[in-house]
Amino acid sequence: MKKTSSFRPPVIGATSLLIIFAVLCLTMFTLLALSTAKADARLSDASIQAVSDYYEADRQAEIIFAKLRENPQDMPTNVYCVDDVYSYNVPISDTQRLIVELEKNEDIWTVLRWQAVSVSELETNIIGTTFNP
Amino acid sequence: MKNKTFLPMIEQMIMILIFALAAAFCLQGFAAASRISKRQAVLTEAVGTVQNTAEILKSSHGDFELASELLNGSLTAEGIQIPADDYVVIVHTAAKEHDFLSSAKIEVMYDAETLYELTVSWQEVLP
Repeated sequence: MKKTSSFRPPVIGATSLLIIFAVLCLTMFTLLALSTAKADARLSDASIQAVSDYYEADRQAEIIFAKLRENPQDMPTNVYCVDDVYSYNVPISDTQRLIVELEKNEDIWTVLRWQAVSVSELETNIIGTTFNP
Repeated sequence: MKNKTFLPMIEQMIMILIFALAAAFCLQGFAAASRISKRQAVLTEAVGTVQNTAEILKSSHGDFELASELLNGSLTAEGIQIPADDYVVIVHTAAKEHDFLSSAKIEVMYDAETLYELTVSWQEVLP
């Protein structure tokens, strides 16, 4: 009778494979979580910057308005007056401007327009007024 | 026989060590991501409140009493304090810049630091 001997190799490698997979998953999820949070933060920062820019432009427009109320004859350089309607604009960003139109009726000032307009829209309007009689 | 159990045991110990190290680094990453998200969520909400406050101040021409009532805030010597869940919005007492112009600084405090601030101006109404 021939004696059979069975050889079973030690189970090495299965644990390593499992841990490598787990570590890879953990790393991937961490990187995804971090990149998503940072992308959200960038978007949020951009929208907050837009709010800050708008209120800075609004403040500049209020300063010009106050100067006009004090002495309408002493107009700042970027203010135009036609028939007691004073108009000026203040840049909010590269793509937006704050358009202001004020009407003076004796001592009463009325705000006709206080509007954020995109520069492209503004240019279209100017071209439209110039070339369409 | 001894060698057969010793080798897998060493392997498992090394792998557990590696996993523990990786988990520690990754947990720090998750915590950082959570901190960034939380801060941005608070900031976004706070900026909305600041905008609301600024518009109320402008439309009321700097009437702090009316503004604090509308914003559910409390009027203090410093100005208006508007508490929220995670932050406090403080409107500092208005400064007169010009005969016709006043300004106030609106500040958002979060974890004892200034998270955001904005200066808003409005026209003074003459009596």
